[in-house]
Amino acid sequence: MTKGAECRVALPARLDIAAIGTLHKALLAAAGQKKPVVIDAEQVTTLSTVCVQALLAAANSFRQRKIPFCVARPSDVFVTTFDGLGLFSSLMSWEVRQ
Amino acid sequence: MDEIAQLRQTYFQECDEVLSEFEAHLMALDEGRGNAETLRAAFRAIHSIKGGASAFGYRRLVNFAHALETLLDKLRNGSATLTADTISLLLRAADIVADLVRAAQSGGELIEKHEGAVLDALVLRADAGALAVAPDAAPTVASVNLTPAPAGKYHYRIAFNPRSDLFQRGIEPQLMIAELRQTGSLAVTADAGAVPTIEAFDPKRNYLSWAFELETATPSETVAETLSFVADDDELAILNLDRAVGNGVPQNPATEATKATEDSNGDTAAGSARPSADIAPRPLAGSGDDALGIAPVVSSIRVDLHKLDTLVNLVGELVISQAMLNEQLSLVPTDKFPGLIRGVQELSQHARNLQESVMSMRAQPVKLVFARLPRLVREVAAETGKRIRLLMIGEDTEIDKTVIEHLHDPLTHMIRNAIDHGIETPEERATMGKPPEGLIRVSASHIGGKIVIQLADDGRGINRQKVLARAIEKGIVTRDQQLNDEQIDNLIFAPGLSTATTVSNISGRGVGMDIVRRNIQRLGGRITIRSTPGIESIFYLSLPLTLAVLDGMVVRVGGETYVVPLSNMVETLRPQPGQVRTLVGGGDVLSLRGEYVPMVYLHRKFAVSQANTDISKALVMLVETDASMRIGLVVDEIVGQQQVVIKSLESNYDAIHGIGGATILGNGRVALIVDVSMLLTGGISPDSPLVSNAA
Repeated sequence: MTKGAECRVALPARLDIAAIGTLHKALLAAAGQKKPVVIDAEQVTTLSTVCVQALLAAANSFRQRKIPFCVARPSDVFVTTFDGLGLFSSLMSWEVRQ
Repeated sequence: MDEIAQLRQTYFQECDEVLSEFEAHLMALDEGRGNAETLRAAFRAIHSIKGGASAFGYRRLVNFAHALETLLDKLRNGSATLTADTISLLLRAADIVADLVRAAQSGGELIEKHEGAVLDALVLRADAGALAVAPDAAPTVASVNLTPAPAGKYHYRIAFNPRSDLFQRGIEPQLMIAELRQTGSLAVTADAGAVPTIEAFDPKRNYLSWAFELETATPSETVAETLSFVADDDELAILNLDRAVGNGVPQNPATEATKATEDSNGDTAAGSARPSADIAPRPLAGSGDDALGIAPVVSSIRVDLHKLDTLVNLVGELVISQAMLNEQLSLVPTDKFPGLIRGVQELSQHARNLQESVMSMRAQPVKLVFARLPRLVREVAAETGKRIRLLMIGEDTEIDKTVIEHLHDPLTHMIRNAIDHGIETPEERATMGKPPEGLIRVSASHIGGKIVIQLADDGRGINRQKVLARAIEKGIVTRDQQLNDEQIDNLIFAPGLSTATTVSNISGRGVGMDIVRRNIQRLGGRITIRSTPGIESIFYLSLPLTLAVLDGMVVRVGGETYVVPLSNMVETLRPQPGQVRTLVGGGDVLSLRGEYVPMVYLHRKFAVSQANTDISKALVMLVETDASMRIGLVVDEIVGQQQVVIKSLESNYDAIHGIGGATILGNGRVALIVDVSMLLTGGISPDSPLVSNAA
């Protein structure tokens, strides 16, 4: 995950309820690094609300610790899920890198 | 088991229950007992299965459930008509849902397109919309009073503040939001203010809440209903701003005051996720004359069956220990330690009461088995072209889960037989002066510490001449044997006996009723039949209330103690001189009332030393096996009748041929429970010729 000057979290394709445990651990680990965090959301094809919450929580930690973070290449599903849940403005408050 | 696995297990358990309810709703609609609420309940059932499937990512199940749900939605809002064909399609769809649920549960995959044909049919039926019913088509279901969707638009403001256990209840908010979107134009705002940092984040908890603004033509009852089964009343607040336009529909005066309050407060609510204090909780959706009475609140919790089994086991141990205590106490003179004696007697009573309470926890109503019968009757009646009315009585009679699981197959086979062989066609019945519709009556009740199930049909009864002729032909009985009517009727349980002239895929192969009887006897039960030709046939099934305890006869063989199940016992006797004969190939038979009964010496079978070998001093217990064969068990002494707690030998030791389990008696000794049906294996063949008269 950690590579050079940044900490990369590559999100898997399926972020359903079964994936929350692994996602939570990965985001905790990323928040513990002192490096900028890149959340690669290119592969995401399924995103459950419980995993959206985890991402929001991670963003809260990054902000609190003043760790720069961004979402890289978010898939359509990633974006439309945030939008559908009424969280588009939250997503847009993050840096999004294509 | 981790949390997700636990949630998944709960979901699958709920799927079983929900599917059972769904089928019951469909049968109610088919029989004209349903109404608009029944349709809505059917919709909710499938919707909840879909919701959970989505949460766990079971795509195929979601897709199929969605198609089924779409048709149900059209039926409930009146844009599709409910016919008998539609009911048949919905029942087939229920089977597919069950297949997909099972596949998801087992982790297997059904063949591709397993659900294809039914899925296409659902989509076609939903797209077809209202169907014209041809004059000679299958009769439509009794008309369902569906609430018509009124014209005009409505504007709702919905505050959704789910509790923290939202995800643990298997609810995925995205589905609810998608449902609302389908009803009209929806704006969604989420409040993520309660989401903590990742360090404080609990993946099981929900931290989000939402506010929706919905503009739709759907009436408030339907909107509330869409949300009601995913959200409890305390989580949801719906404000009907009721801007009905276009047809002069008057505004609902009940909302006027609320609206005025909102305006005066200047509280827009829109864009705010937290519900305004002015938004009144929505009323529960009623449906006027269709509203069902409010059922009394019943509190219950879901308990893992394994935990319940452990509890039953522990209470069984307690009962055994209490019996041992009683045994020791019997050695104490009654005038000494009266307090101790009284205390132990009370302990015995409490232990028995505890055992009954614990056993009752595992008891379930036979309704669970009976619920599947209406559909079975419907399908078999359709296959045979007969008209059948099914009457079920005593569905709330309770029986242990271990027994109930074994009831479905025998009942299914007996009903198939009753319809295929027993009940006449409508034309035949008309010539006999009977109503065209045949009657099958299934009832359950507790009698004498057992559950008794009766299955009666008003069909042609048993053709005794035909049965007897076939039994003689098959060698089951001899020509000169004198049998009474009841004995002839009960020949139908003999293997290979079928008087059907044609074999249908329903019955007629002659291998069914003997297996039914064998399975019932294996449970420690009995099945008999009584028939009146031309009038009726009645099957009587008698089953123990539980398989955890057994009524048995304790016997002594040498220095060992055994238990013989009372359900196998016929009689006991002391053989008279000349009654015992020895066969050429070895083995003894008992001559009894014109029959020869093979004898099994338990001391030889189980290699018991110091047993009585003098047959004139022994006792013979005449017992009946699963295959309705009689054998004579030779024992030294009968100790007494007792109810014993059954312990599995396989799980505690290993399987022993001829032994069905073990128990611990009051004296602390282990007694083995004899499996009567296995005793003859490898022993005397009933076909062995008689030889000399033995002493």
